[in-house]
Amino acid sequence: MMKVDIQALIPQREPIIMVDRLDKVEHAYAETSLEIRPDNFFVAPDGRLEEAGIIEHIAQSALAFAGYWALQAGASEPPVGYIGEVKKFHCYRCPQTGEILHTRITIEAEAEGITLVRGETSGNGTPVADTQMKISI
Amino acid sequence: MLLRNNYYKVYSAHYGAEDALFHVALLPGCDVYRGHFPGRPVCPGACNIEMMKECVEEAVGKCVSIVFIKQCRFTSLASPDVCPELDLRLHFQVLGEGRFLLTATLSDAGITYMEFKGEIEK
Repeated sequence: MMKVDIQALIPQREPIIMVDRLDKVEHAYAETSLEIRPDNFFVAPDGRLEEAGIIEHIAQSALAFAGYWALQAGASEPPVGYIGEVKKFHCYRCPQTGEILHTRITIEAEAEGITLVRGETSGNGTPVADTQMKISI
Repeated sequence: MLLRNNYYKVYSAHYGAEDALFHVALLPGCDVYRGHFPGRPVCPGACNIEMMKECVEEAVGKCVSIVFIKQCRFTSLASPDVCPELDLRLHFQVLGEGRFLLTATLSDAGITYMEFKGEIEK
């Protein structure tokens, strides 16, 4: 497990920090995690994380990955990034408060400030969602 | 409703069987802008997806799930300063029992901020 403060890797701050940890980084692959707490901005009154929260989690997971490489390259602050496009997003279920989400991020392409990523999220050993995403960084 | 009267409020809503139009205002005092981003408020794209979902729920009169997004493009950066009021246009096409194709756009007079195409389940 990597010991890096997540706030050093992403520009988002509370109440919309949607990734707890960058757990693993390889060349074009990373893993992150998020515990769904009751006070999470995207948790509905019934205790489930909304689809939008899953999307934001995957986007911030990709940003944490980008932030890691920026930090390695000597940047003093994490890069700001925006979701440009969500494509082929499948949501299999909305996870419950208390679950820990595990997300696998694969960088598929990078060009002119646009990063194309694939994100796959699971929790309690079962799939939650997967998607492609374009992020402007 | 998670974000209504927190992230946005609805000024007017008109809906029928296949189409709906919501005129909404973004609320600049929403807590989300403390973190997205400090000193530089920008609408999280995810919040606009959630706002759309809540308006769909009002239009169809039931809770819904977003089961598939074919494509959702964020074509311009939105913020309460840049676009304080927005039109959310929804179009529904029935795919099967309790399942429909949703096409949505979020725009103001001149600029489109979000284009969504996906499948919703009641």
